[in-house]
Amino acid sequence: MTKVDQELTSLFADSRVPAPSADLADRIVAAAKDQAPLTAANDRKPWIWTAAAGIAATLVAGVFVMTQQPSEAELWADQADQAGFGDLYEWVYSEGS
Amino acid sequence: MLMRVGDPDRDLIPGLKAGEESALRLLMSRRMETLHRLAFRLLGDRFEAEDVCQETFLKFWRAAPEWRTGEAKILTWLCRVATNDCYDRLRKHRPDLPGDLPEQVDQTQTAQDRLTQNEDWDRLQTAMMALPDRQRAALTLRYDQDMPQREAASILGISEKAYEALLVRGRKKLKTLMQESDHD
Repeated sequence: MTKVDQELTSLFADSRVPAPSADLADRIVAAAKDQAPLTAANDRKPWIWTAAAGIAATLVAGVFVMTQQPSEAELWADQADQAGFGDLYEWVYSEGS
Repeated sequence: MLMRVGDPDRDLIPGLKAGEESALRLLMSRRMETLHRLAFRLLGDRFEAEDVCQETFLKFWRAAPEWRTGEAKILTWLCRVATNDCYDRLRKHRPDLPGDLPEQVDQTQTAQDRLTQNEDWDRLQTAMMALPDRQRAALTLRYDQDMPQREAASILGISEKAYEALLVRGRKKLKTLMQESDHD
């Protein structure tokens, strides 16, 4: 973990976030009693597609892990900034993804 | 071969599939605070964050009978649904802006002005609210939720590379905003 990561982790841990209302769980349970089951939450594809996607994801993840340079995005962002294309880089890689 | 996902909430699935209220209550006792914290970070409003929690748990409750154990973590699914709900709500709050355009921070607004906007916001939350939505979500998942990169990217529906780019940009902007508030 980098120094920046440590600082941000500590900053977020110390930050105050209000707790949810004490009766929120009761309200949800009350509403749930009127709810009928829908379709699958994580089962919307035929199994063959799920299997193919699993294999593809494994391959992509493997290739990614082998080729990944941890600071690549940071280097590209800095290069874009230095070249004066920082805003364009951000638009392409951050917001348009 | 399917990739099996270890889920710390898998013990609740039989009860949830059977429609047992006790299983839903236990799931909420484990995950409510995480979801509410995520929604609050994104929306900046504790009551709207509660609405997001309610909608998210109800969606899961309705879908639970068909849940396929081992293909996803319940928490990842909950976070994804909650994040999308937050994005929808943020979009509705900005009716004059097309949803796909990056939002602009009002440069004339000082950190102190922003701090006074909401009594629930501390210095970090004030700075977070000035970030673009996706950067705010990326930072929250990384530093508030300690979510692994792959899982966080999945929640946001983007590649790991795009997630990393969001983190880089978010960190830079957050640092700038925090420094501004130091000087005010």
